[in-house]
Amino acid sequence: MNAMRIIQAVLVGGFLFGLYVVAMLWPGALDGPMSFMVADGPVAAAQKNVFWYTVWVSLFLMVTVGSVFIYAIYRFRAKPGADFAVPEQSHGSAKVEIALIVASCLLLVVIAIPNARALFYVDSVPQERREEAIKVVAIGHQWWWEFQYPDLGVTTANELYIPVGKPIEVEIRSADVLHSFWVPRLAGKMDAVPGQINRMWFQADKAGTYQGHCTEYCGDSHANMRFLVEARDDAEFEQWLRNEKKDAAAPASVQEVNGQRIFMQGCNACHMVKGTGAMGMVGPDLSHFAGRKTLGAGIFENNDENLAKWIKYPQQMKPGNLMNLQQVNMVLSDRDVDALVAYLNSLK
Amino acid sequence: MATHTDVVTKPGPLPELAEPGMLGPRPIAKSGIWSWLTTIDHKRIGIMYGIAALFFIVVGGIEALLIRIQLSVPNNDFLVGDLYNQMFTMHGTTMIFLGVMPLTAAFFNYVVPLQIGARDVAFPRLNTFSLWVFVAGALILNLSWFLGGAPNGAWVGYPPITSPQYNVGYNSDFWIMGLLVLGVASVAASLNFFTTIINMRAPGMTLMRMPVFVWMTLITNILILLAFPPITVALVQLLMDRSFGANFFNYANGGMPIMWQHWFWVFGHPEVYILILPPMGIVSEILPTFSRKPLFGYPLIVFSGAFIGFMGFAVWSHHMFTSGMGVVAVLAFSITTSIIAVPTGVKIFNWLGTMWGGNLRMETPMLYAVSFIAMFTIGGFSGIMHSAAAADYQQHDTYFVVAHFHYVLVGGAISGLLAGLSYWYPKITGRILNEKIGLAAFWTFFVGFNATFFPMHIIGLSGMPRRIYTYDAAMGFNFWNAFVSVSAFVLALSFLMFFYNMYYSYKHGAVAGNDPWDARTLEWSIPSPPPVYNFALTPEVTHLDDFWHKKQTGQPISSAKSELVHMPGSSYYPLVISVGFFVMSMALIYIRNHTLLSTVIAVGGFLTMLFAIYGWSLEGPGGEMLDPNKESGAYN
Repeated sequence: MNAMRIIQAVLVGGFLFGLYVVAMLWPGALDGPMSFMVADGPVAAAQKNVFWYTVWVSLFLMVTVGSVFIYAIYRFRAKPGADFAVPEQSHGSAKVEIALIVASCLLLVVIAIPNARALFYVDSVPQERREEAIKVVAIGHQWWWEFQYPDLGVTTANELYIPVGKPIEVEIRSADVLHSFWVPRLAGKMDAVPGQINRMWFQADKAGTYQGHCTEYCGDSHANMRFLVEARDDAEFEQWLRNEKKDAAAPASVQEVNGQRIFMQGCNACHMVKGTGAMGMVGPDLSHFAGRKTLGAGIFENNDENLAKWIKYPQQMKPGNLMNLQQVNMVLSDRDVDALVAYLNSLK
Repeated sequence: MATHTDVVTKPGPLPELAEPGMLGPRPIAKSGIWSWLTTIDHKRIGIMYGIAALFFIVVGGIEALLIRIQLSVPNNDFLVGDLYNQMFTMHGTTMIFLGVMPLTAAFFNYVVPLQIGARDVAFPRLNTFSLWVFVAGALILNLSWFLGGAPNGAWVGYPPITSPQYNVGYNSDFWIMGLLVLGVASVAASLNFFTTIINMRAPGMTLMRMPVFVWMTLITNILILLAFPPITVALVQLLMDRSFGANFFNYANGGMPIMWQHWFWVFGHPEVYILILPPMGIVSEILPTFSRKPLFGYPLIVFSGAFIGFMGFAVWSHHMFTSGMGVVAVLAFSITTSIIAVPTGVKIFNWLGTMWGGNLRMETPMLYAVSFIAMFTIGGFSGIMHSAAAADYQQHDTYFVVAHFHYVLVGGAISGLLAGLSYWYPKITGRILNEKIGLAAFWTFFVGFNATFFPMHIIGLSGMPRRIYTYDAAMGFNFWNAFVSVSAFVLALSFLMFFYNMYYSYKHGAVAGNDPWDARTLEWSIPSPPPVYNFALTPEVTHLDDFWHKKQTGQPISSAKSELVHMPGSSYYPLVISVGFFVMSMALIYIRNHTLLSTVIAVGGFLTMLFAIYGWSLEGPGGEMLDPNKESGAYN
């Protein structure tokens, strides 16, 4: 065997795998808002560590096996023009086989141990931190999330406010079909299964907005079932909480009063606005709607133009969603829509 | 070993030629459309399975391209909402049940009887039955496109999204009925191949002298026999929920949606091995032939195949790591899953060992086989990454998973099947595929495949979920999605080139002769294409790779004298049964809203089936005694 050739083959193989790695780590490729290659909390970090552990073990095997493979093709290829002589016949070697089996079993144990440790760590809030944990109930609906804070007496939708540095214990349920709760930078996913209560926890190490997405196929607008996690320092979180506990603001201008009147002619069948007659439980709670950044479960920026379009053409904005004006006998003029927009924007 | 070589079977008493079918005349056409519709020849059935499978791979491929057009740019409106959901549901269902599975069945049919030195499969008419029932199932699934909407519950069909409360059209009914019918075809075929391999091997061919492809066929068909009952039960339960208001999966009335997932994956995971073991067998035939060396570690390859099949039933819940099973169950299935890496690794090492020290002819079948090993290995590594459940909580249901299973099923299974097509094409048609077009098609495939599916790893790590029809421009998915969409068309082009080569070489290819590759197994000892009776003389097997051994030592293949061969008659009945089955199943789809009409039509279909089953059982084997010495093209 020619040592130079082995070195050449390893170099070629290494170069090709190097290209893959470069492609994976290409600047910007892996730091998007949903990339789980960026961990902003301890749970995501533990999961990311196990991932990279498996990557390194796999890369080691891949480079080893790949080099032998490429070398074998190069070294033993039939030379053009040469006759296809029958090479020396061999049927196998028990020693080689046993050695390789033992080696691969060892590599599995090497992966299994950190995997098991991480699994138990990410399963539930560590014992010594149970006291400070904030409980959240996340309920998946077609196609939005309802967030309840059972200990704080607050309910909101699609934008989950949490305090930085505190463990968040999430209880995941479904109101209809399967969904899955996933905020990649904070933690792996957990399914929402009808009739079952699933649990997970996570923690955000720094303040900011984290993108979430439903990851269990749930029908027409599965792609449009996004949400945000807003991590705030304690003071800001408390402030948000105080506001959230209040009843909805009363309409101030004539247009807002008109908007509320129209709201009570149909929208109230499905939406709740605390402190008014709107007690609907089908759609998201709108008591503090104006504080939300997005519309339609994280898919549109919350501004006047989008809101007016949403009210007029909900089916075009989000196929299949349950908001159906005909069903509640609402026929809206442009002026009505403007009034509704004004009213909703007053619900700080 | 010596005892086996002494076995010489004497042909038993010739079967009595039966009376003409009691319920009508038998088909007698030797050529033309009716000869194909009523044939019981495993080779013709294999060809028809192959053509149907390639057709549906084109259909599934077009569905994939439409998906890629929608995903090429963010916020696209080419296929929105439900239509996109129908497309990916049918892409997965078509590729698995109507593409890869029947293509493996095509090889089982064409190759297995030839490799074991048999005249046909054990139950030739049951074989025809499987083919036509498969066609009926395929029609039911695809007719949905024209009858109100294709299935839209993803290929896994998880309730409640497929429950009547959330899926009011007939979409999921077509899916349920199509899969039930396809299951009947698969189970009948698997019984047939199981019996064939156990009972019909040439004298002297002990189990450990069987070609590896036959071994993998045997294991695959055991898996089909064991894996289809659970999915059938699940489908019937869902059908009851949808058609008759039962509550198996309806939580509101005490049902349990999660139960479906267990049922489905107890089927679904073995199904993955049903797709991959036959290509592994194909590759294990091609590597020794093109390396001119015996398979390295034959018994280990066989046993690791069996072990993979066995473990396939012990890992189903790794598809459900995030369904809330509890940490202990997750860890248990995480460990069983990683164990599968060992027998898989053993196979890869042994394939490497086969090539090591050989004289490798890098022609197209070998190139596809080598690409199988490389791509499958990469898919295996991402499989190890998934098996670490803590990491899988993040990867689950993202494009990282999509990349993984396409590496295993396209880079793996499809590579292996294209290898098999290139390898056995000369045996089937008598002509060799054009090497220049073949090389161009291969390299287009290799580049197109990797450019399509490797970036999906990156898209997945960036956090793009599966099964979404649109994504936001600010998520960092844009570049690679556009890149993947363009590459998908390169991959599609490679299939067009392969098909063109099949057409071109059928007309203009070099004549193959019996044994164009200097191969090792029995099918290469007879003419290409093989005569209708396969072997004029029943071969007597004394070694593994018997044909190669005899060629090397200059012995004749068989010492027996040529006898008259009994060729059983063709039959209308399997076709008639499948027509009745089709009518009945189509009618039952509508039973929820049109109870009386669909019951009447279903009963009509059932009576047709009943009539044909009786006709089949009463008609006898029929046929004629054929003298190979007088037939042209007979092997000497």
